[in-house]
Formats: sequence, C-alpha cells, structure tokens
Amino acid sequence: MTSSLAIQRRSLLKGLGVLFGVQAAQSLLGGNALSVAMAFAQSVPRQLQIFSAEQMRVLAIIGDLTIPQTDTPGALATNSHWFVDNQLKHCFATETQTSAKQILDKIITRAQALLSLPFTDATKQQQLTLLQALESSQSGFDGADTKAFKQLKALLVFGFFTSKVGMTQLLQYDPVPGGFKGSVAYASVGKAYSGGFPF
Amino acid sequence: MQDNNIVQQSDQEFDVLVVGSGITGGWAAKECCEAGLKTLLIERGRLVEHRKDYPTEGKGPWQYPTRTVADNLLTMQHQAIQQQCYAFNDTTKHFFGNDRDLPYSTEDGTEFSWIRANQLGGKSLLWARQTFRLSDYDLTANAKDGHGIDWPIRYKDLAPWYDYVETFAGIAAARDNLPQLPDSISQPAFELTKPELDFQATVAEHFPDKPMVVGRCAHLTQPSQIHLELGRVTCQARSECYRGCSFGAYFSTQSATLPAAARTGNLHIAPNSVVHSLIFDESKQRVTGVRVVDNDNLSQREYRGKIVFLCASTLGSTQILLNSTSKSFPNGLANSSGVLGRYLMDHNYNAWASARIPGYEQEYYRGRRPTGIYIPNFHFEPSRYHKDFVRGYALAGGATRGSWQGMSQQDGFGEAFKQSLTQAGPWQIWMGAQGEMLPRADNQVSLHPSKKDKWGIPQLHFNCRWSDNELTMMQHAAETIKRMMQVAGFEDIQAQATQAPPGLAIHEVGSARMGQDPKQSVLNKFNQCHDVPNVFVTDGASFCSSGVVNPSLTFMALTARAAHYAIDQFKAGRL
Repeated sequence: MTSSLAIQRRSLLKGLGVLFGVQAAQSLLGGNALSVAMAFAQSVPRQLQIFSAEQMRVLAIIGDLTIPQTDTPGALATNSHWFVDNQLKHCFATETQTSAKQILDKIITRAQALLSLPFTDATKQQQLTLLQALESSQSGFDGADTKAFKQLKALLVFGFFTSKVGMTQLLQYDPVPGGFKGSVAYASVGKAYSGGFPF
Repeated sequence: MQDNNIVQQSDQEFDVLVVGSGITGGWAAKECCEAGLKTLLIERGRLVEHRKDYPTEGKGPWQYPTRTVADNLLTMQHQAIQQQCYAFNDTTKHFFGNDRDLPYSTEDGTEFSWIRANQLGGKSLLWARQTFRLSDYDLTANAKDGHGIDWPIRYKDLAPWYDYVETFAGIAAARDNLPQLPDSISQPAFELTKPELDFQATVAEHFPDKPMVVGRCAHLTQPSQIHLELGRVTCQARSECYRGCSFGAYFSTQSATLPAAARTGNLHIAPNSVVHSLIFDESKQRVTGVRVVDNDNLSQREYRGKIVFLCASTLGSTQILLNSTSKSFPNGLANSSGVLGRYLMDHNYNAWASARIPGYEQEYYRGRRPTGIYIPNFHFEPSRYHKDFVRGYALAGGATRGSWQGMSQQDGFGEAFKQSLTQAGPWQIWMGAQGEMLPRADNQVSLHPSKKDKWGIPQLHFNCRWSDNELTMMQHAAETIKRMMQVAGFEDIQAQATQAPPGLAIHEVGSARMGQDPKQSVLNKFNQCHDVPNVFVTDGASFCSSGVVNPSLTFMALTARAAHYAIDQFKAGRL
C-alpha cells in the first residue's frame, strides 16, 4: 500500500467511524470490503436516504460484483450505490423502497444462514455464488426475491451507465451527431451509443 | 428580443391583439407584423428567450442528481397531470405548467389529461414536430359519412397555405405521391435504417393498400436563406428538442416566427398576461380589447386592439370565449349557435405493438432521428372503411438497436456482464396507432359553475370520452400491426389495445368549430367568428373533425390563411 493510500485508509476509517460507528467501520475492512469502503470514503459527507449502513455496504458489494473495475472504472468508482439510495428516495414509490430494503436484508440473512458469516465478510466467490443463487431463485430465494433483486440491480446499472464515466467511457458518447445516417457498419462504432438520454 | 418591445401597461390601440404565442400565435403575429400592422402578442406565461432560456440543453444526465428522472414527490405535488406526457422529465419540466395553478374538473366517470405549456413559445417548444397535410378525404369525411358538419374548406383552399408555411417552417419529407397524404414542400427526408427499409418492402408486397413512408417533420435538413437569416441551421439529430434547440433546427416560435415578427419593428409582447375575457362593445357589436390578469401579482389591466386573434390553444381559446359574456352573448362570445365547447376531439393512441427484429447485427446508424416510419390512414374514404368502424388510423414507429437499458435485468455479474451492456442489443421495433376521434356533441368542455382558478377565471369542466367506434378501431389497429410484424418475421411480438383517456395525444381539436352555417358553427371558413367579425380563432378549436394526421401543420396553414384574409379586410376598411 502506498503512503497516500495508507493515509486514505486512515482517514477512511475515521470518516466511516463517524458515519457508521467504529465497529462497523472496522468490519468494513474485512473480506472484499476495502474497495467498497474506499467508495464510501469519497462520499462520507453524504446522508443515507433509504438504506441502513449495513444495507448500503451490501449494495456497494453487489455493485462491485455486478460492474467491477476493469480497464474502465466500475460501479463503485461512480458511486452507483449512493445513486440508488438517492434515486429510490426521490423517484420511487414506498413499495419499491421497501422491496429494495427487504431483499438486501434477505441477502444478509441468507448469507448468515448458509455461510455463518455476515455477507460483507464473505469472500468474493461466496458473495457471487449467493447472488447467482438469488438470480436463479435458489438457496432459499424465491421468484419474488429474484424480481426484487433484478429491480435493484437494474438501478445500479442505470446509475452506472448514466454517470459520466458510463456514458463517455463505456459507451459511444455522441452528443452532437451532426445529422442522421440510416446505415453505419456496427464494427465502425464497436459499442452502443450512450444516446441523448433520455430519448 | 428587444426590451423596448415588452409591454406591460399600454393605452395604445393596437391593430391586432394575438392571444397566445405558441405555434398559431407566432404565425398570426408574424403575418400581421410583416403586413405592417401594429401587433401585440399576449402571453400568459413568462418570457423564454431563444438559446438563453434553455437551461438544460446540452447537459449530460450525470449533471442531474436523479439522472433526468423527475423527482416523484415534487412531481406528484405540482405536476401530477403534466408528468403523464411522454416528453416530461427533469430536463423539460420547466416548460410544463404547474397543475396546482391550473385546476380543472371532469365529469364523473370520465378523465381528461390536459397538458399545459404556459410560456412564450407555448407548446411549440414541446411539440413532437411531425407534420402532415390533411387531404380532401379528411376534409370531406364529415359530409360523406354524416358524423359532424362539413368543413367549409377544401384541400384547394389550404394547399397554397401549406406551401407557404412549409417553405418557411422547413419540413423534412419525401415526395410519396399518395392521394391520402398530399406531399409537402420539403427538404431532404430523414433516412430509414436497413431493417426499416426491408420492413417497408415487406409491407409493400403483402399489404399493398398500406404504403409505408418515412415520417415528415419540421426539422431543417437543408436550410435555405429564409432559415439561415433567422439563425436556423441543420438538425444535428441530438434528440434534445424538448429542452429547446439553440441550432433553431426545428420549428418553434422562438426559432422561427418570433424573430421574423420582431425584425419588422411592429411586434410588441405582453408576457405574464392571463387573458380573462374579451371586451365586447354592444353598440358596435365588436370586440375592442382584452381583460388581463397579471400572472404574478394578479392585478388587472386591459389591452385594446382592432382585431383579435385567439391562438390560446384549443381549450384555452374556448375557455376565453366561454368566459366572455355580455348582453348579446350570455353563453359565451360568438356562441349564438350554442355549439361553443362541444365537439371536442383528440387523437387516439391506444394501440401499439413492439417486437424484436432478428439479424442485422452488423447494421447500425448514427444520430437520433426526429421522425420514423409512417403508414398513413388506409381507411381514408367510406368505401375503404372497416365493417366494424368508421374513419381510420395511421401507424407510426421506428426500429432501433437496444442498449443497456433493455438488458439491465439480464442475469450475470462481473466483467462479462459489464462488457455485454456496452454492446448494442438486438434490433427492436415499435409501432403505434394514431386514430381519428369522431366529432360528438356530448364531448364537451364548459365553465364550472362555481370553481375558479387563482386568476379568478372559471375552471373548465370536461366531459369527454371515447365512443365504441374509437375503442373498436384500436382493437383492429393492434391486430393490424401484429399481422404486419408476423409477416415480416419479427419475434417476441407484443401487441395491445389500451384505454388511456383522451388528452394525452395533445392533439385536442374542436370546441369552436368552423362551418358554413352560423347556426351550427362558431367560425366561418376564414376562422372568423360568424357573430363578431373582428375575432378570429385559428388554433385547433376551429377543427370540424380530427382527421388522422398530427394537426400542427394545419394550425399553421389555417392561421396564415386567416391572417392574410384579416389583413386584406383590415386594409380595405372592412374590419
């Protein structure tokens, strides 16, 4: 760890302690949690809107597993989990908010039951296996759980692909096309347009 | 926009008062100003200056906390009705009205969604810009099948005015040579995509009575000097139209008619001026001005003029007439016939289908096209009517490739999932119907007997519903689209007929209809009130039937035609 990262980590612990309590902040740094916690660090002044701190940590991990950092930034770097928390508060009905919280709680409960571990302390592979089971309505998850999870995941995806990183680095950003051409070889573009969202 | 053109208090008697600054008001002002008439354009909302007052234009979604999705709580408090409009979101909501200030009521068992755009430019900033001419089939339908009264005009009356407004507005269209959809004076049409071209060929082979063409829209694709000198340039295919377009690439009051009117030196603008009613002089049997309530401070004032053009939108103009009562007209100005408020229509968008188009993985396009594919009404004369309903519908839609938005719920995690979402998805197609609504006396707006808005104006009360004819037509339309898609080999076809209430097509027309007979109509063939010759109503209120096509181009043609008639009469001393 470089010194600047070490400093970041220290200030991170401090910041998380303020936000979640010291115990929670320390538990964040187990398992797959460092990169997740780093994402929190960027946004410590933010207020949670819908989720509890624990639910938020789980959501951050889901974002990281769904859209990881590769040669381009991932969901954590774009704070997609914070976006989801804010979006649910401002743009969705209470039922959707409740359903999102409940599915995160169920992930926490099922992880404890299956792994005897908090979800956040599980290995990346354990976490992934659990989420894959959730997507296929297995391991104690039913169809309604899958549906609720897909909705939450779609919101993470929405947050990521409407972020500046998502729109300008992951997709073909073309804010001023200059006109319309009806036929262009896909290979010459190579990826989807980010569009003049919304259409 | 020059500050010295902005009027608040004025004792001046203008030659012309134009009420409303949307598509029709802009045209009325332009024509009158260019003819040398001192013109006051009265707008109930705030000033919106071209380019300067398009605050959301060019912003990425990441610059909005909710990524352009409108805030639910705020929206439901202030814009619960407006948010039903397809163009409503966080980037456009400032161009929609606040429902709390704009109340109206509906008859039990009916619903009506009234979309408002109360600012300079009105709905010309929010319209969908599709522009098609009415044909003689539309203008004679009432006479032929007996629903509604005959239009007092024919295609030959409108054709030169379509030419005139199209040349100025700038219409991107092909020349299709179809009797049911007369060609426009046009600039190059937008291109179709490869799957659309193949679908067009399939439909031509299997449904020869249902020709598919490229849509026509008020976008510049090859601007001429007329457009360039107003600062208008070629459409960039950004799809930011509803935020306002600094390229002036689509026709709006701000991009086109307003600067043309302003450069004459004859234009004055009275913003924030809610017209309460028209002032009627019993002795002269003429209107001498308008009563206005200030939009902000609710103070009252009057503007005087020799001629009044009501261009306040279909429902706005009818509301003003209904609220202009006098000894001669106790039931609303120019309402000796009693039909004012009746025969309200909208278009019916309650049938659609979507599907996936297999193949074409190597095909893509560039830009976001402001129009699509279009199948004009194929039940356009009584001999072509379906056995189960009269009149007909058009079909409009388009094919695009999917994106992460359609794939965000698919299974998967990690790098492969991330990568898959960056790729264009399968081709998908959507087509929807746009059906004619019959003119029926029962479909009526009236003034509420007791409820008023904050400006002291009686609220409108709606009693408007689809008839069985419209509902049956939509069932048939959904089946027709489905059949076309099946023949074309599309997959995952989803077709349905819905029952959303009238209003949301935002094509409300009728309620102060034209006609030959003053006993059955409010306006004559020049959109002039039969009863009060110095009042003209040139917006959609004047329609005798809804037709099938998007009405705004006809609003423009009717307005220009009526304005030139009024100008000639005025100069001859007859008004």
